[in-house]
Amino acid sequence: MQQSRPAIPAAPKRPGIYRLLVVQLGVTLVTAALLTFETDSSLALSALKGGLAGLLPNVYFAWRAFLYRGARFQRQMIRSFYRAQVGKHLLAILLFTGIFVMSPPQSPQWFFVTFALVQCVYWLTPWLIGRPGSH
Amino acid sequence: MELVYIAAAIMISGAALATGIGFGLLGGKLLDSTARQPELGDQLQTKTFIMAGLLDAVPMIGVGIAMYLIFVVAG
Repeated sequence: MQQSRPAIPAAPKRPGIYRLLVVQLGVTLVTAALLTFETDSSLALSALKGGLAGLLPNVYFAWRAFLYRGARFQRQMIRSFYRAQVGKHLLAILLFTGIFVMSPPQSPQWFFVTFALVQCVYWLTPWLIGRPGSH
Repeated sequence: MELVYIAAAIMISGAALATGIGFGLLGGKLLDSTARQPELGDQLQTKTFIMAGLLDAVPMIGVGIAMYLIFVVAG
């Protein structure tokens, strides 16, 4: 009879995925700062909300996906990936709904531009994680 | 106006479906590769994360546009 292994959390050291999240936060803050200086603070707030709506599901995804590491826990690892993905989608939809119901952004255009920019940072991931010192 | 909601529903469900198919393939490959070469488990997991992010970026933008349709265009 096969006994289930105890769930052991991942080691604290994780690959350079935090670099990706930091870049996403940076994109959000830089867009908001540029809009504050160039136009209006309400546009910057819209951009900030859009960036956070894109960033927070990614933070959850990165945390959940790397909850288990190593070949011994491959089934838990896969399950964790799937749950991370479902949670990311649900969290994004909940954040959008919450933002639009509770405090609608003044500029929906900048809200979505910043959201899309944060998502596009993923296209830099091979370069960001592949750099020296990321492992 | 109903067409906007139908369009948003199609976008969200299409994004979920496409991501689900992609993740199924990706997870299967990860299981297979980790079983073949357990010593590469950490590297494979990181590469799977990268691929998952690339796979998911466009559907997430689709979800965002669907939310835009629901709350801004139709709202």
